[in-house]
Amino acid sequence: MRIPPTTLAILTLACIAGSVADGADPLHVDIDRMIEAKAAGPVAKLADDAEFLRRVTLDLAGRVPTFKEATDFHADSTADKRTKLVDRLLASADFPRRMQEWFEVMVLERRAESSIKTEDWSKWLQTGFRDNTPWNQLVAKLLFVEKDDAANQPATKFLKATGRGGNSHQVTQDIARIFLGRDIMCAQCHNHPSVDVYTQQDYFGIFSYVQEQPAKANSEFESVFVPGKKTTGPRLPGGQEIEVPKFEKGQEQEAAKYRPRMMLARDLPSGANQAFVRTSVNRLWALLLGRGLVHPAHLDHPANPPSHPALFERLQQEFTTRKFDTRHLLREIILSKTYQRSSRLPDGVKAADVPEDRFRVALPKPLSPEQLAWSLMVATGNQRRMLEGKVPENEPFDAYNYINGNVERLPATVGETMELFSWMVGNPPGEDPDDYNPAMGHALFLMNERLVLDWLKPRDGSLVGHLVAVKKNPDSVQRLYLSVLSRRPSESELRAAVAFLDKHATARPTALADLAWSLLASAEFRLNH
Amino acid sequence: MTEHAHHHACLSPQHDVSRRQVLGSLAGGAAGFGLGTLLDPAVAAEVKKQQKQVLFIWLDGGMSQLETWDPKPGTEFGGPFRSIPTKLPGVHFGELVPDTAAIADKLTLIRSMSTKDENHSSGVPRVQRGDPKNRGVTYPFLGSAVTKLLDGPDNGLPSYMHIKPGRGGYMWKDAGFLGPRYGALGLGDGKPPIHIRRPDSLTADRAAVRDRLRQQANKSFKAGRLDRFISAYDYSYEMARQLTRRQDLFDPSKLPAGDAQRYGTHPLGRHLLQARRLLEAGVQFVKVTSYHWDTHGDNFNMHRVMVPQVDRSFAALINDLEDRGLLDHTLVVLMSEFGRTPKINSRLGRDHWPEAWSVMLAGLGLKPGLVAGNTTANGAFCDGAEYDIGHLFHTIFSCLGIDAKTTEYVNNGQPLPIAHDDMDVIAEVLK
Amino acid sequence: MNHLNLNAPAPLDVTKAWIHTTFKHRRQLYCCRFSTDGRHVFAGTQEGKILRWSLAPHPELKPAEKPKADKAAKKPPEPQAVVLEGHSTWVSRLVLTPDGSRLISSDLHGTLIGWDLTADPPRPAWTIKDAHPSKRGAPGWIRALAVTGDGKTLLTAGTDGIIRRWSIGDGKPTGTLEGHAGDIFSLAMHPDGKTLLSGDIFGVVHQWDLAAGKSVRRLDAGQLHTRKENFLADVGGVRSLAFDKQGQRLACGGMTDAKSNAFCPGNPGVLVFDFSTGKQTQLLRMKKGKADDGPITGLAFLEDGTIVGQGERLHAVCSLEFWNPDDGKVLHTVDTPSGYDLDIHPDGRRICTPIWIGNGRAGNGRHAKPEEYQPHFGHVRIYQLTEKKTEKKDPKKPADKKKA
Repeated sequence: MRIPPTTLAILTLACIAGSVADGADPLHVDIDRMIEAKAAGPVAKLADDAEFLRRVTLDLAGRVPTFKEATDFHADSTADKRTKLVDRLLASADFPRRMQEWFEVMVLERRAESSIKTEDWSKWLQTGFRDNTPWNQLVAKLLFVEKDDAANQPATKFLKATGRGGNSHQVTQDIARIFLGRDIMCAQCHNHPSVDVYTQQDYFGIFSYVQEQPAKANSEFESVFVPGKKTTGPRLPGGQEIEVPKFEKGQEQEAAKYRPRMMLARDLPSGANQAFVRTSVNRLWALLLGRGLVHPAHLDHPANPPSHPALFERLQQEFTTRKFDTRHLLREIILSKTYQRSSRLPDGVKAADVPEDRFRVALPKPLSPEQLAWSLMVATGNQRRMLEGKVPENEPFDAYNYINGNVERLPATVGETMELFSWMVGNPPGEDPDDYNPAMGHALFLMNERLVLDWLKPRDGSLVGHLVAVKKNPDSVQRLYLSVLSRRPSESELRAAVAFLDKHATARPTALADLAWSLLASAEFRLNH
Repeated sequence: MTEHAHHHACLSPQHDVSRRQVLGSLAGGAAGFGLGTLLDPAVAAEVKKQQKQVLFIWLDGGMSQLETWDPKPGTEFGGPFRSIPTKLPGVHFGELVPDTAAIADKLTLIRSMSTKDENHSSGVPRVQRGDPKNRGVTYPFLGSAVTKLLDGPDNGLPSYMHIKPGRGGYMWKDAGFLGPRYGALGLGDGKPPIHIRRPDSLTADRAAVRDRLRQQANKSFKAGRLDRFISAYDYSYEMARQLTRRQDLFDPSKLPAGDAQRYGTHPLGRHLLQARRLLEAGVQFVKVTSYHWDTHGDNFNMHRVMVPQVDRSFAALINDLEDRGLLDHTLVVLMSEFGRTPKINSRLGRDHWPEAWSVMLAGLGLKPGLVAGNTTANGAFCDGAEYDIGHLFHTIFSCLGIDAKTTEYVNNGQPLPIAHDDMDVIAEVLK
Repeated sequence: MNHLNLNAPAPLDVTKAWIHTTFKHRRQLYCCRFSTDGRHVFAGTQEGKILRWSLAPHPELKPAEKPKADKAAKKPPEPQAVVLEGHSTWVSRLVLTPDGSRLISSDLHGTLIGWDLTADPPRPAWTIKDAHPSKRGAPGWIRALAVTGDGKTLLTAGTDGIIRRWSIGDGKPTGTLEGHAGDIFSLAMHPDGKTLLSGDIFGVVHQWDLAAGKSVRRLDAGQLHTRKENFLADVGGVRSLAFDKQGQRLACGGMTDAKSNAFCPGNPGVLVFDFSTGKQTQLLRMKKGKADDGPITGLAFLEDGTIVGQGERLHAVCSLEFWNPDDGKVLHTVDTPSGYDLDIHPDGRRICTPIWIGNGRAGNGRHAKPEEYQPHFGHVRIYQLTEKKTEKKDPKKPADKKKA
């Protein structure tokens, strides 16, 4: 019996999976079993090499594969090449950078903050992901860092971000939404109008926790609809009120050191806090699968149950047993067949008959602004040039002024490029970063932005440069598709593209650039599928 | 227990299909996006011929009816403002709206709105979606609904544009279950998207060539896949191209002299002027939003400064629409998500008040110079007929020639009324 | 018997402040002033009345122990006010002439009334309507009043940004002072009686030489003004102004860092200026106050230089606050409801402030029955700033009366 290569690869992956408790299956096996049990319909085939390579590179390295990576991977015939690819990516320098880019948008929501330098914050995060610092420890630092803990000071950026600094209400709402899966903004003034379990009592329990002084750790509140003042000390939803020590005269030093927020850092990111574990695994699942088991991720409550309750429990159990080992969780999910489904529907199945929450087919995910920027640089062969770029003296750059025509020069570095893409393609500060709106402004950006058009110039080492250098049109088209879409063109695509180039033979570089642009602006490039 | 009684019906549709005339195919499966269906082509063509347009002015936060359209001077809740006579005998507005008072004979005012939601976060989308019965789907905002039901004009412009302060961008969430195609193009501060101009190095021909190639790539990619973001992304390019051809609409140098002065240079003034230009160009649905009306504190100082901004610009706009012959086939709506409390709070502010408030209308399908509904002498409650958002939407649709009692969407085979089943038009305001 | 004669006024001690009397009204009150002879307090109401209450004869004693209390009744009868009619809307400000013969009142329709207090009950000596003429769509509100030291000239200011001068005798206009670019919220007369200070929405404070009729200096209280890019209106302003007894310090009250022009929450604060140099020396904050509150609307200096302020509140706890102007530290705080004005009694030991008292369900009262939907109340609170004393009761004899 010939086992198809992809299946073989999957089986091999399964064998090499991480350690498991005696008698229990590895997580990735359980994932597949539990997903298949509730599939209620045909599932897509497994992704082919091109799909898998591109998807996992975007997910773990935050960019599309290079031309070389694509060519090499397609030529590689070893059985366990997919596993090796996953582990290679996890060990690469791109992985911590990719996780930093994703994580910081999740926690900062693109809010500005200038007292902690960007490079210090990025470095702190990347170190955390490179060293595989447990997820809960990262979160704990965001919530509280001792003043004399120099190494972790960058983590204070979270609470200092614009709109949060000094605003306990914003902090309360953001912590609840980001780490506890609860959007409780409405509950500041009264119990949530439509979610019974989001109470004002819960709101002020968290509010009390985020205070700076023990004297403020008891909050008084009153519903604007139901008169009667209530109070609460620090309390997490579903948890007990903690006791805030009372400090006597003469204990000023101790009092000055105590912060309710310290206790929040102890209590919130813990295996005992169900809401935290649920939200964490939900977000990591959504990162890879395109949709949380609880959806939307910020409305976790009984009337919005997870699509796969048993699987959800299983993920939580794994994450806590493995002490919040982020890399392990991601790896297990990627090793599953569920993750590796193709985004192509099974034959004869209509899109309308495949609800997203069954995970029977891969869900296309929008590239984040960061992924898009990196991918455009990589695909057009400008990555190294931008990495090595220097900021010209006396020519400052900021996205707002650049966009409004007040800056002559193009962005010269990766940092400036990221700022531009974040501004143009990212959601406004404070808005849900996962909410993708394919806007006309983004289309116009890719159509008319000088920087993008500059990347398509035929320089040495650039994509169009290579395409021009390759003399035969079919070869150019092959290189184009591998560079931009990480796959070979189909027969009809090859035919059409060659015919186009033949037709524009007198303006070949221009035609090549136009072809390249069309693929870069395509939905296939824009999405992670 | 809070006062938020659940007004939502249970999730399964319960209406009687046989009573309705479903326009479009119940067999579902629309071309294109797989969601919703088109109106019966015959009806659509008829409606399209008349080029009906809507201007929807949203004063976010809740403008006070007591400081504007329904003053109660000298009463316990009336506040310090006086009232002035309007062009309509016996009808008074607040002293802060003299320009609008002078053209009250062109307007239609409803004073007895009485609605359910006193929250912004739930109330705003609820109102703008028409507050229909809950059927487990997200209903479209009015702009998306109208552009779906009326089938946009062929002028290469987005059918639904939203002029707002702050950032713009495509707002596909407005469309609800209709799908992203029916979203709104947001114009931040009324300005077109930034990259609307093509660089000199890129000719129009080349741009067209590139776009054809791009469309072809998307066509093959989309086949056999879930349409998750694919069509929406594709469509964003279509809209981009269309808008690129109409940059003149945003060019201040093409404005008649004096227009900017008449409307005022404050944000709402500039934005209503831009809205007029878009309406003149044939954009089907223009929404204009003004924020910061939620005057829980210092209500009287704030309204004193802000209401004249509305008065001046709104009156200029109505007069201009009439002068250009647009008022006959443009429906104008000026509203908030609720009114403000008669009781004055400790910060000399007014809080949210859905119990009795006002909506101002003008134009297509309405009886001009009419005030519908009364409030009690102290302004706190309606006195007589009360109207909810559902009634308002029935009325709006009726003005546009759409019978909301017999028209439905079909969403994945599920028929959905376009407005609240149990409500009807506000007959007294209709022509 | 003259209960007002006491051996010596009790020592001022703000930390002992206590509520001596509460005068109640069924509508909101926006301003209050003590009479110059200390026997009455006047308050301006939302419905256009002025109320005059008599003050208790024994300020240091608890009100319940007033000799004339009716012991048979469950509680002491509500004090009755003398009602002065003449205004048609919110009475915005009250001011008295130094000799106590005239009370001048303003309202938000621009009406000024000069009351003859020598009559009993007081009656209008003159009434001026539309004193700051309203324009189309722009009503002429009067918010601030001041009287020159010689008691002859009245100064008025409001939304038209022009300070108008009037003869107190007959109410005739005698000139204007122009220079503000926007709404004027406050006026204060320097103790010299000839120099006027005025504060506007932008935080600009003008110093006027009244004899010369022009502005001689501008002080910068711009911190009390906020206009962020997305605001539709300016928020804040110099809502209150006060001089110390010597005229060496000027205090400007309002709020900083307003968050929006909707709720208009800000951080209540008082800027203190050294009047000779014109430089700001302090920014006083409320002890409990944080952002999300209203401006300081009532401001005064006690005779020992302590600054006392009262503000408006929405959610947060507001307070009557007492500051040491030398170091800006809070000496004392008394939790209070939202209030709109403040005045010091001639004896220097009492404060009056008109406060908002809720009537009916908390919040917006949305689900009240129509007949339950009633306006909120206004009280005038009299705080006593000396230690509360109690009369010793001799079980055999009625309460002793203090004798001169």
